[in-house]
Amino acid sequence: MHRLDPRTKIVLTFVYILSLFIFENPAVYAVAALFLIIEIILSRIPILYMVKGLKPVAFLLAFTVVINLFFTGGQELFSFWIFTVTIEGIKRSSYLIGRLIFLVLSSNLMTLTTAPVSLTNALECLMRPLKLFKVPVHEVAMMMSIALRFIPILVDETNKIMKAQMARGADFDSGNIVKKTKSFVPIIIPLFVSAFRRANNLAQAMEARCYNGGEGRTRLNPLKYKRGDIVAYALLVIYAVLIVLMGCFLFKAPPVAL
Amino acid sequence: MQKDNDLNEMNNDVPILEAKHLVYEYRTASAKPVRAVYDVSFSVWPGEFIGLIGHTGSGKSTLLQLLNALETPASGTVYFKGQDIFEKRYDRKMLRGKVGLVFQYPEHQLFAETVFADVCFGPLNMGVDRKQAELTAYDTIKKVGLEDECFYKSPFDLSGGQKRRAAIAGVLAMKPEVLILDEPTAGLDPKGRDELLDMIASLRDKENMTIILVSHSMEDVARYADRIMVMNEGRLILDDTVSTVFKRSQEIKTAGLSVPEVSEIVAELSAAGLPIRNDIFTVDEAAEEILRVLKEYRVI
Amino acid sequence: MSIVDLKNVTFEYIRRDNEGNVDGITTAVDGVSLKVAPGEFIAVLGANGSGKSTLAKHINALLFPTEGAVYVDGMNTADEDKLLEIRSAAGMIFQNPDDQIIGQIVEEDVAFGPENLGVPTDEIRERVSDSLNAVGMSEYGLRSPDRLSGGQKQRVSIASVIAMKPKCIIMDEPTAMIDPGGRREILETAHRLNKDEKITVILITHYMEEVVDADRVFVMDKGKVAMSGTPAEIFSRVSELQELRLTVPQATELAYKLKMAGVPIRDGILTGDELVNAIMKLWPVAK
Repeated sequence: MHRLDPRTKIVLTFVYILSLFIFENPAVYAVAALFLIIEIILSRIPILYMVKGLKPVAFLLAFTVVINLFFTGGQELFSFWIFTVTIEGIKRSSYLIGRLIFLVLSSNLMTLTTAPVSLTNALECLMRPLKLFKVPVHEVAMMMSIALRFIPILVDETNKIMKAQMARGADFDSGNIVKKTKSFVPIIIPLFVSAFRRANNLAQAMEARCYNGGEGRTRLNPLKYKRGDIVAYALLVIYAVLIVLMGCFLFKAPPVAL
Repeated sequence: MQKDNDLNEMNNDVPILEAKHLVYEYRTASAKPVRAVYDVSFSVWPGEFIGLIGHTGSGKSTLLQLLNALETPASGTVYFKGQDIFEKRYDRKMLRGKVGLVFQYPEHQLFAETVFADVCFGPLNMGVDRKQAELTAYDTIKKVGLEDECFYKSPFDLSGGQKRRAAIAGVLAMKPEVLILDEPTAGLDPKGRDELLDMIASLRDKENMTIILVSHSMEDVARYADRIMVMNEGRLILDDTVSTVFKRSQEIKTAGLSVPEVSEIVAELSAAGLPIRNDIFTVDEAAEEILRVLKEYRVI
Repeated sequence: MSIVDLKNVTFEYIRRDNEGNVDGITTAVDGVSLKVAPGEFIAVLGANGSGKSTLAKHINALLFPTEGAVYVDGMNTADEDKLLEIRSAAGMIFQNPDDQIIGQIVEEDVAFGPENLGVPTDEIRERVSDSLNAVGMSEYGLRSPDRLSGGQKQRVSIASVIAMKPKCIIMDEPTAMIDPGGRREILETAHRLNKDEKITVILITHYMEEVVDADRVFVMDKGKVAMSGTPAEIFSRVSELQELRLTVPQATELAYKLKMAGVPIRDGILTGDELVNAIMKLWPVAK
């Protein structure tokens, strides 16, 4: 997994997510789950670690389930108080939850096995055809990688500025919304000033090192497909065919009952 | 030590600031928490000028933030005038006015439209009314040596040295009793360094403010401080008068630091046979002592 | 031929007030002429705002003179076709290491310059490992720059410049934000590159100790070169330096004070050892 070309991984993840959105039936989801499990095993990332990755979206998951479970119209299964649970509701929420979990897991899998540098490189490469439509592909990719480089620095900086203002008695917790919003001015302004200063310095440093846009650049790590990537693409094709077949023929009409 | 010349209500039997067995840990990606500060205890008396030294990562920056409750210790505590600042109901916001902390590159925190408004920020946060805050700001800006024309300038239009002063004024305007400065002279030219340190020293001399100065420069610390604390790997390894600390040059060197160049010269002269006093840390003292010896032995 | 040749360089910029009206003209560099021979180690001293940084940016063709001309390795920086050649011949290190590291991992950053120059992949790889070696950072190639100390980051910046195979490196206060330990690392690296790789170094600083081992020193004041000479020559003019908001190393200061008080000591003492020897030379007379 780690050794796959980042382009392969992006395409893989993209097709996978697409498949989840196009088809909504149990067989497809079963195949999708199987596929994901195999991927996780191949990646050698501990399953527990992957599950932990779901934590930030847990609330969103619960929310979706509740909304869909109780507020989907259709055949009533049982009800209590103001809540009515319908068969459609159960179905919808289980699809949604499945879709969300697969989505988060598969994209996590991609980012966990790929360094951000190679992701931006790969995106630049994959988006190259867009150049025909005058999309500044190289610039976008460069922007992304610089953003990634500076995010930790700016987070650090925000932290420092916050503390420095707290040392001058600033208070970020009390007061109403207006007061609270106002209290962030002493953080936002220095942060912007520093971001601009850094941007300026960085631009100079890049210029000093002969940066001249994407024209004629070579690469330290040029992207090259290897045998593993061919296998992965082959698997992807098999997966896609399988999904399309099952999605279109196996359960052509949405089943009325489970 | 200056602890006797204090006049007002300050109780001289109680240290103004006291750290007791401070431990601070932080977590990284790896499982084991890292101890940035470990079992640090010391007392600071009113009117002292303390130099705190240690290389980057020795824990000194964290220690400063513990002293005015910007960080919370894993164990141990800090007392300000005998009161535990980490007690639940202690007013930590007021504390930050009393124990003023000037961060490294403080000019990066300037934000208001004018220097004057920026300096007012602290006192206003402390609940001082606007008129009083403005009076204090006026005095403070003068005190740090900025000219009148700077008052209504944007802080971003000042020169590097002026920005630094304006930012320090922002902390001084809260009228702290203890002033802590984290490498206030970083990036300034030599003259700028001397001027700023002279200004800080005058705060102690004129207003009996207690000063804790973090510096990389042994020469500066030797010239201004009456007591030195040395941090290494999160521990406070030395805490004594300037002369005692610099006599232990071996320990200082193991902490990745050095004694002032002039002390080494004096030590070498003494080793070479010149009958010279050995507890000298400033150029002026050294010149005086060498001249004394040379005159006494009629070399000149 | 000189590697850097500044001919009567003047740089002015227009100050504007908040409404964008012209507020005045500032002359940051004022008629500076100087030549640097290949292989020299040059130090440029000067207080904040003396124009030394502005001058440095001219050598890397980041700024262009309002008057006069700048030649780097025989190329005029006004010649746009030579821009990349000039910038790779005269690499530049800036003050803040965080703002000049572009790559998310060390080796990507070192490769950035050669990539821009269109160097073939195999050769980039070679240059990256050679450059990291030259600054003693070969073990850190795959690390994230965020995890390095200030001194290490600055050494990465140096490696990134060396990877472009410059003939000359201009360092604009590279130690200003670094602690004493890191400062030593950077200075040692600069001297080693100067000796072993024969790279010309132009070091801009206001730490006097960093100047002691330079071949020549220029002191700048208000955009002009106020003093120039060997470190010993410069440091024998203590009171002049102090007028320019600079100081001298403690050994020099002590020697100067003793001399002023009538002790017969020679001018231009730079190190403690020199001073101790000078004083002890007087001493046996007393016995």
